[in-house]
Amino acid sequence: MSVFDTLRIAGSGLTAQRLRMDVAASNLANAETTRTAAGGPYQAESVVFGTTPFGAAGGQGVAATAIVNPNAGSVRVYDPTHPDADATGFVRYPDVNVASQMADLMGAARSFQINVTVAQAAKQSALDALDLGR
Amino acid sequence: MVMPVSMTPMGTSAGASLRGAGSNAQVDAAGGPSGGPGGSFLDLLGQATSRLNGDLASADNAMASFAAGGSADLHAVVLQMQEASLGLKLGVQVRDRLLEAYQEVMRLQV
Repeated sequence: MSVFDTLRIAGSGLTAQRLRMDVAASNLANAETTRTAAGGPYQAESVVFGTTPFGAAGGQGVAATAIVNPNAGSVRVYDPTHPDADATGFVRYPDVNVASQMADLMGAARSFQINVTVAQAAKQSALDALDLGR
Repeated sequence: MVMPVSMTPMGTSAGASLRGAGSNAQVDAAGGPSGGPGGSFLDLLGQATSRLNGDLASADNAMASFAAGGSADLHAVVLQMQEASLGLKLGVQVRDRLLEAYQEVMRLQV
């Protein structure tokens, strides 16, 4: 496997973790969104990772294969003064767990750093190989 | 971008052709055509150089489109720049070896 394959696999990891961060950001931003274009409260999203073959030597990159709505549903909160309250005075809020979303965000940031480290190691080994000719 | 796999073969064939470069020059001086069965060293060098140029140009394009507010990912741009830079370093190494061999031939006592 070439050095550039390693770089590209690490790059696919970077892209996937960026998507994970995007989704966590979207979930956190919409943690209290009660109305969407589709109607009803915001539905929390999550990312599913899958492998993609990379390079000739059987390397496996990662690709975010789907952003699924887990149909977590909504949380009913009694607030009759809210504009989106129904006839019984309940408002449906998205079922977003802010703490677990923050943990997911941190995990994505750390995984991003891990992939950066892999890319740096690949680059450094290529430079070392070039130094061989000095 | 296709640099990777051909990196090692190119390096070795460059070395092999470098050693053959002296005899090729003599053939040229005698008026005969140069070029082995696998393509001449000049061909290989030309291909590698044009591929390197393509790498550099695409890295340049990626950087320009990112700076212009394109939708490219930052890390993708940086990785592409790294690939181009590594390719350029490899090209410089090949050039150094080539010049070294040339100077070695020029220093020959006749």
